[in-house]
Amino acid sequence: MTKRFVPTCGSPEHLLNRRAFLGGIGGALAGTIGLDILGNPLLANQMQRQQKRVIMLFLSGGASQFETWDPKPGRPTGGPFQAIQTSIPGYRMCELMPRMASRMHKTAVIRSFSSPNAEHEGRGVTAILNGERNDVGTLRTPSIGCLLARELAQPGSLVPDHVGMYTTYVGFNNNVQVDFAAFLGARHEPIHILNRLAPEGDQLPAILTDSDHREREALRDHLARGFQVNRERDATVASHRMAYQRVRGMMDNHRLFDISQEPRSIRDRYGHSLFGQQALVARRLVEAGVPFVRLNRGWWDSHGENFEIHASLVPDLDKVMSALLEDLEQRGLIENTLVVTFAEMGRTPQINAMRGRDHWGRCWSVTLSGCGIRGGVVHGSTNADGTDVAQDRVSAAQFFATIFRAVGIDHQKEYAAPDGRPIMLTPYHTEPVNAVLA
Amino acid sequence: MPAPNLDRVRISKTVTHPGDFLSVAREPNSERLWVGHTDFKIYTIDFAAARPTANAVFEGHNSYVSALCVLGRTLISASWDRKLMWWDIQDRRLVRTVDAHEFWIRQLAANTRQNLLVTTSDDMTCKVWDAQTGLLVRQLAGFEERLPRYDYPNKLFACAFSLDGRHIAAADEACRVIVWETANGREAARFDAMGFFKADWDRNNHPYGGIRCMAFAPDGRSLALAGMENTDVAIINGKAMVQNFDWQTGRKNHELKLGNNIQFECLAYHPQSEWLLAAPGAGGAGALYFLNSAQPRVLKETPATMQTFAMTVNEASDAFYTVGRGKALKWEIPA
Repeated sequence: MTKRFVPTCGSPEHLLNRRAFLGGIGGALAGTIGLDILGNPLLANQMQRQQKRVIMLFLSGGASQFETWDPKPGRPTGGPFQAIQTSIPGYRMCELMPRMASRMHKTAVIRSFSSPNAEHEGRGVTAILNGERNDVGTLRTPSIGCLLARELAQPGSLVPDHVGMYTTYVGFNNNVQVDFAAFLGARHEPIHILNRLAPEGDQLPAILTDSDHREREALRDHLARGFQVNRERDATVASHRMAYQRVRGMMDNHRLFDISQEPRSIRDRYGHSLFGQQALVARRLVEAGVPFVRLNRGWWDSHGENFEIHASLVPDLDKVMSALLEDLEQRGLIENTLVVTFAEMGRTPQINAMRGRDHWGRCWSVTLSGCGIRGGVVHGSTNADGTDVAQDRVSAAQFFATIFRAVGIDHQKEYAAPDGRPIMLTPYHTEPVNAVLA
Repeated sequence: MPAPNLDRVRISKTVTHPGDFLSVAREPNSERLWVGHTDFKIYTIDFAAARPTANAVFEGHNSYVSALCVLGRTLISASWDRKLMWWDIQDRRLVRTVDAHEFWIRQLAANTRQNLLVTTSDDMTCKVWDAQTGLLVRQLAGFEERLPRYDYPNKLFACAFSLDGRHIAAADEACRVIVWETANGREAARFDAMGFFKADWDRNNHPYGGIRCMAFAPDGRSLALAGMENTDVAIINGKAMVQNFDWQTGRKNHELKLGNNIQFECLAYHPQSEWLLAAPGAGGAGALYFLNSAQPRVLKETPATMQTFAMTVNEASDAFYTVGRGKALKWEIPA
């Protein structure tokens, strides 16, 4: 039986949480730093208990499964890298990832992900980001990020529900790196942070004091309240007001994006690549209650010099991902935070004339760590040369169902499309990959 | 005896084989090649045979065989598995294995006296080895381990001995060139050769490029560097480039940009500097270029017919051998 979507859960725990959260905002209105949850263990503990969050490490451009999770050393398709033993008996991964290798008993890897998509843009990418739905006709359905942002959002939260961070602008102007809310509404679209650590405009221009801004905001709010009389049910008006409140909330909480607040040892652990720094921001955001952060780490599109590019990028992924998971663990956040690695595609087994690997959807690897996941599971396999799935093919719909289930969302929960027809989070009859669920 | 005529350069024999030949060494005064492959094996090809073939002889490396050198009856191989191996080519046996570096070994060169070897690796060290014993003679340092901004690992692609053996040069991804005195390891020069490196932080957020090969001119005064001027880090996209430097002053003498979507990966000087031969590696098959050693001018251009990853020139400079993607070729330069 499917369930109707309920906009807010309204549980006492969430209400309590909202009060605590707004206490922080109230502090901000009095001139202190808002949402100082990072320095408040009581609030942090409360958040930790209650809210599920997801950080997606999206390897934009398509990382090679051979040079990460599914190496084939010594095979014609294997390339130059060797495989190293991981903390899972019998499972070996690329030598470029020694840190993750030592902690794979806490991560689940799916080596048999398979998708028709092998492009960075266009319908294939749209399809893979919304779970390859072939059950909705021409209806544009939301992407996984927007669905998670919607499902995991805290009611009335003044922190964003959805943040998208990007190390590159390749793919930003098409759709590979960008989530889409479709009929869910703009609130669930990401706040974009492109090539930097904080959103643009998160701080006031020099000519405007905080006091000036608050007075203007008070006047705007007063006028808006008047305008809203008899329009309480108008979603557009409400959304407009909410947007202003959230901008103010973001400005009050710009310190969330300031990683200089972190001890040097933590910053060093993440490393000093833009990806590492953005990952540290992501941890600060989820700790403060942002339910979904997608870290778009690009650009992996290694048509030429695949091994040089992966020799540069994979150690960074290894360092950043292991640091993020370790940091989440040490802060007691990992039980409620799911960390996913995903991309729009993998890379070809064949090595081309530019010593590169081209686009490949037929079989590649994804990982899940943390909330709701059984660590140490290696699900599915590819054949000896990595040219096809050998066992337990996993589709995007199954993968997304697994993500939903891991964070406690019924993957067959039903939404209503604008035309009134029911649409489930994943296509009818989709089953999650139970083997990787805790 | 009439001099070889570049206008008559041609392929005289072809050996085909699946996969990529990455490295080559020739037994002196012969047509027998030793060739390293991406299947981790070392093959031999006797181009003196009427129908030469590639035959696998040595197995032992666990990654690409990136460089080879023949010294007497000994073949020394370098690999991306970080090891150097000494092989007896008469008895066809492994003599010695040395864990030489902490990351890929990119290149290997021997001095003319054949008593020293030099290797470069992505562990960012250049090491000098006793060619007979395999003992480390000296470690040459001076390169940055990380590229500037964003913490990416640097790569040390190229090395070369001067013909008189007095100097060793190496060059990295960031286009830093360092020259040392062989005898004492003292740094003799360092300079940056701009143009080979593209730090595409905003668009792709990773670097690309580097000096891929180098060669001292026979007189030892200038140093030729090659690679490409890349315009897109995701693909081999741009012109192959050669720069010529007075290495003692760091002054660039001249530069040539050639072809499209190719990268030079090997260089060889004529022993009397009559030409500098540059061959295209990864990318399009491109052309082989015979360049004027002293001027930015192409003497002869001829289709390479494959991606060329290594080459060796014979003693008379009237024949040379190229190896690469799926093929090994013998070229002749008739008079």
